[in-house]
Amino acid sequence: MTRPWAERILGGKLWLWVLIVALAAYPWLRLLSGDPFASANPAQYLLDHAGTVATAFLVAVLSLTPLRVLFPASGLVRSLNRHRRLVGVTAFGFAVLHLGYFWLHVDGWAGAMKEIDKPFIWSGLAAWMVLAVLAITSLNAIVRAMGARGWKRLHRAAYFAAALAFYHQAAQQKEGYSEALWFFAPLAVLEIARIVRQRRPTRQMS
Amino acid sequence: MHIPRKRPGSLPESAATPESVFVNRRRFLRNLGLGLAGAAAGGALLRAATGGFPSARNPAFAGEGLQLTPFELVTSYNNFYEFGTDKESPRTRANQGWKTEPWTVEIAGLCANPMTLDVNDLIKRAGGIEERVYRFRCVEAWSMVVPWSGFELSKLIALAEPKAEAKFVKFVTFLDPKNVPGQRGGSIDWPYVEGLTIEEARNPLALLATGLYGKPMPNQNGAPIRLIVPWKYGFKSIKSIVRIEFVSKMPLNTWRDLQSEEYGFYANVNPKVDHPRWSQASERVIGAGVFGGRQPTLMFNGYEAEVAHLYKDLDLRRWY
Repeated sequence: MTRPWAERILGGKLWLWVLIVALAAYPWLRLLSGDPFASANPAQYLLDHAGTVATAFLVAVLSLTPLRVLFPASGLVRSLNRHRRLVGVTAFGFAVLHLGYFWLHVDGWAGAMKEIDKPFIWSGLAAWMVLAVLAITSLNAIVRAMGARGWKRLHRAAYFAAALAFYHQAAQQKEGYSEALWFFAPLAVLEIARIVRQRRPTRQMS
Repeated sequence: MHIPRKRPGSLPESAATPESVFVNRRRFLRNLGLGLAGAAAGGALLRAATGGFPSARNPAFAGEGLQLTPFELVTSYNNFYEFGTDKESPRTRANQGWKTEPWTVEIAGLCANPMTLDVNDLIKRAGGIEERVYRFRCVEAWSMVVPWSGFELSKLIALAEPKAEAKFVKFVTFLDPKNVPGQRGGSIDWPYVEGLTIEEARNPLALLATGLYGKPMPNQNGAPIRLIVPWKYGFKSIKSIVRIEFVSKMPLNTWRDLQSEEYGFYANVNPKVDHPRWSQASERVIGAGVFGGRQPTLMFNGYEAEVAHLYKDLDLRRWY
């Protein structure tokens, strides 16, 4: 049977780590190969790439809960939900890369200070700081110390980070915000569907 | 007295590669690049307006002290939203079915000699082409140095003989959604439009470019004829022009139409006036590498002496 086989693969960490390493290495491989599109404006290229991947992982981790609510019987969804912490921390990992490449892009402190007053920049920085708190509090010892309810309450801030990331990504595009919609519209649909689903049984009971 | 200190590991001057050797190597690499690009584009590089070549460099615009951006990067890293909003798409998609030859240009509006003519005839009537090395500064805070071939816009204006009421020149790009994927959708109201004041258009720096690096203009760079106004942000330098019109009112240029709080009519390069989303004080040089850093952006992109007089009564913060 193919299903348990796919579930076993998806439930393991190997594919996810391969994906993470490949995504981090990909722009550097393009640069090292002398690809003119990448190497024309390499700091900008690295910056954009890491930002896009960070957004994708943030959207992915936020999609896991609604998927679980909507498809509780799906083995695949359950397998994916095993990786919540790794997916979330990876979003922050690429955000760290993104900030590092930003540093490179603006030539360090003096350049960064010239950009910091722009909503486009501080929205990204604010999202980064929220993700930093969430990543640090995902260490085993801290999760235990906080207790399940406190941890869960704090980690709702991920939605706030997502709102900031949406603005940040939308502002990055020059002629519109279609790129940000490609990432966040599916998440919005999932969230709405989840809210509808979660409300239905309570209504039937009352 | 300044005594140059030798850093450990530094090489003596005699170890430097002689110019003739590295120039040849560059030429070899460039030719290699040209060959590959030509092969990839199916010879599309030669399809644009071929009139006037070879073009001799005008020594008054030799761009002394400027380092040319390699041909491969100039023809790969392109903003040409008609073929996609990313930098990569234009090089492939502008060479897939979009025809830039034959190409007709219409000169219209408030002028004594409106005309419609083939671009090669226009080149002939303008007295041929010459090469000029210009800085090119994009509003996205990156820059290139490009050897363009073309003729002064003022020559076309002289042919057209604009009337006294003509205060502005409006430029319009082609509209060909069948062969041009970006024009089939998106948030831009096609065709792309740009404009200059008539004084700006008469400035000797304003060039109608028909080629680069001594070759006809590659499609992705705006074949066969485009505007180059080096003291303004790149989006003012409209590509692939089909219509030049003399008008009395300030034309609504595409980017101002799209986001007027971010992109103005003048769009002069100005390190003191930021874009709402990023600083314009410095720029990344295309091809400088990952750790190449930034260089300060110059007022009017370094052409202050040539153009500052055009704006002496203009508040450049208000009229960005």
